[in-house]
Amino acid sequence: MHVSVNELTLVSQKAALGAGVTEGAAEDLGNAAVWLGLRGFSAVEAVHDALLGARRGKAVYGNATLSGPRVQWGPVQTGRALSAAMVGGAAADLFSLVRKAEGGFACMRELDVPLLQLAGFAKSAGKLSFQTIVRWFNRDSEIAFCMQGGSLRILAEKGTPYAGGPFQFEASCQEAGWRVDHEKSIPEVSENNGMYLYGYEVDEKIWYELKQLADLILVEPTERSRALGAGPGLTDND
Amino acid sequence: MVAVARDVELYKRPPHVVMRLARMGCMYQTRISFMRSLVRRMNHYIWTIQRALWALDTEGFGEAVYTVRTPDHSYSLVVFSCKLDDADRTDRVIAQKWDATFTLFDGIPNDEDMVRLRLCIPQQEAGRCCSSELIMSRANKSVRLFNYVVDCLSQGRQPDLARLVRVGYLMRTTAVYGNGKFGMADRQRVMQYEEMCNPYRAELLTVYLIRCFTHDLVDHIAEMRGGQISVPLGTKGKRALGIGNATGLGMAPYLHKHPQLMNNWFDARETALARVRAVEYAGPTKIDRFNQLLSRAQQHLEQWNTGDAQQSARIIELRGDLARTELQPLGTTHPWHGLMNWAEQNVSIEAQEMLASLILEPYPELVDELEATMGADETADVDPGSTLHEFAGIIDQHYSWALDIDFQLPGSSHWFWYVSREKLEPRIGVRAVENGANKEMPLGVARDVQRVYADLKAFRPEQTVAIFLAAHPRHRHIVRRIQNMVRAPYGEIQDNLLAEEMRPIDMLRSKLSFFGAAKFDPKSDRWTRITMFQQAPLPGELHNEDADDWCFPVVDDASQGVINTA
Repeated sequence: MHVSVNELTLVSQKAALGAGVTEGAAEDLGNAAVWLGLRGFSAVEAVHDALLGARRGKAVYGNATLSGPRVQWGPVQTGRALSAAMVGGAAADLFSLVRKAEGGFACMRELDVPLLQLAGFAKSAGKLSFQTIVRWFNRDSEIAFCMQGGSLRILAEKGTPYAGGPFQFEASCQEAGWRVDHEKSIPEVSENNGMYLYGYEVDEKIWYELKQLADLILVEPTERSRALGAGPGLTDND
Repeated sequence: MVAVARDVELYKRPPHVVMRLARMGCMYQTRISFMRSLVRRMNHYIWTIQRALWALDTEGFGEAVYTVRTPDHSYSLVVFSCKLDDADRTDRVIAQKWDATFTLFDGIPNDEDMVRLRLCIPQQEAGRCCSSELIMSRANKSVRLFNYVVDCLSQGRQPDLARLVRVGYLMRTTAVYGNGKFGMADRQRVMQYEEMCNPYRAELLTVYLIRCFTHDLVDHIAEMRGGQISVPLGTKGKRALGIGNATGLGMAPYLHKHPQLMNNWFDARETALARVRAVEYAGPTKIDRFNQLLSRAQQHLEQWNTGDAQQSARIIELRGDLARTELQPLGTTHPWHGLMNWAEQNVSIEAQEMLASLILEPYPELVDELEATMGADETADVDPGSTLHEFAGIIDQHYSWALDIDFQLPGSSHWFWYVSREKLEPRIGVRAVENGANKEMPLGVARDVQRVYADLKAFRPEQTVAIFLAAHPRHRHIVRRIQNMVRAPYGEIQDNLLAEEMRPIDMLRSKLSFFGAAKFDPKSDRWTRITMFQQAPLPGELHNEDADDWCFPVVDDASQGVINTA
């Protein structure tokens, strides 16, 4: 089925609230879903996986430490993953503090759905003149992106890095610019603005489950709320 | 000759004066309200409206299509009219059926489109649109007037103009949806057409076309019923009939969710006012025009009917205030600034806001261009590198009103705002009595500001916002809001939206005034009816020179309405 970009944003955001994500991180998630969708990534699946993990307690918030040019972030409980949805844009914010320093580096351990962090880091990298390399990996899979200005390129991909986490997520700043021949050989992940014109294709079942999560923020009606909570009456035949 | 002071900013009313519920609840339409700017656009660019399909039975049930042609594009209002039992007629969002349902289609629908629309649009929220649908809406008949008008016309006589004015419309819209809801086109798609870039342009074009449909509908049913005896509704009657709207709480969260947009709306309005206040000398033409409109506004008050006791009292006070204004001599220099200064000391806020609207009217050359500034880029990022000292400074400067509220008092957190599972209707509940406060919408800005301010104390001033948010993720939304408010000084309502004395209707009225609504008719403190496009030019009059001259609508020859002061 097709959904509008506005629906993609709002359902992701509301589903995040339903899953217990804070208001601000839910806003980040809604924006991340659109950013990913515009670039052809499986945005809804990523949001769905992350929120179900958070809802079921498999993924939790984390503790961050900032030491010189290095940011380290890991889950607050061992045996649980660090929730990309709960962290929201906070990790990219911290990375932005160290990214200008030589050796600026951020690392998130046991991160559940790293794809959701890509948007925040790309936005952060977009404000820099030099490169940011983002990669995530586990025993079976790995992917690396190079980001500079507004461009995003996949440097390497192995296994199934969009599923089957958790992963170790790393972001680092590199002073050197693109090597010209290298740049030409790697296609850019381009933005597809057609999504704004024609909507975004989603899996109906996954969408339905997200909407169920979003419905958790709704309040059950009562006779009192029906009578007094909104309008003056229940029929208008005047 | 118009002379404008160099620094218009000096004449601008500050946010702490403007963004208060007591004032917002007294606002009126202006030259740059969205209905006004739409009609001007239709006038300047010679838009035409054609009834492309009319397939209604003798009772007025069936389908119709109206096509609007602009220099660059076409849009079509597709109408489905059906029978509705009285028991099902409610203005509330919880309704399941309506007298008529509509969509504004991007272009001209073909047979295949009509098959799809026939299935989807009458279901409204329960249907599934696609990106060729720009807007979806529905409306119910004003039973008190609709049948009367049809009866008159079918018997070959025009309805009593006074009665038309008293109600003001044949149908009330109960929702006008856009911006990607239910699978419709995203705002970005609508904005690919330059003529649709202004806020609510497509929505209000839909409403204007619905007005055309209601006029044609009564003519049609009367003709079917009365045959050759019947007469069509006369031009005076048609102009007297706009479109009603019933508006509930949904508009209040909207104001909260779109601070940048709100800022741009209010900033445009206040800039317009400041430009006119800065006028050094006003020539006789401008003063005559103002006096003419002041007189029209007084007549308008005579035809503004409401059963709401508070609004009725305000209208009565307003009549007295305008009578006193009429006697107030204008200064030879800075006449409008002088008038507004006098008004701020001597008349009610309702009168001040009506004058703020009236003095803009003679100055299209200073005001109208501001309508182009009312859209907004609503991207809002956290500035993670800002120090907490800087961040606290923003709170001190822009949110002192929030820090001054005592949340220890139970009345300060009286209400909570939420969305009901019942058709997603926005509602408010009493925190101490009702369940659901754990799912409240984040409209408690003042409370959230106090919480974040308190937590800042555990950090050093030179530490960054990023460090603070990593430790306190629950503050992320309010930190983002506060940081972005620096570029949106009119974006925040400077009152506690959880307070017991808060009246949601003040927010509704403020937003509706930007639409260009008139004749506010509150049904409670959280619900109002309004009239839209009353006295606006009919399709055949859109290209007349005076097409823009319909503010504070007055219907000549209509006997005075009755203000119910009970």
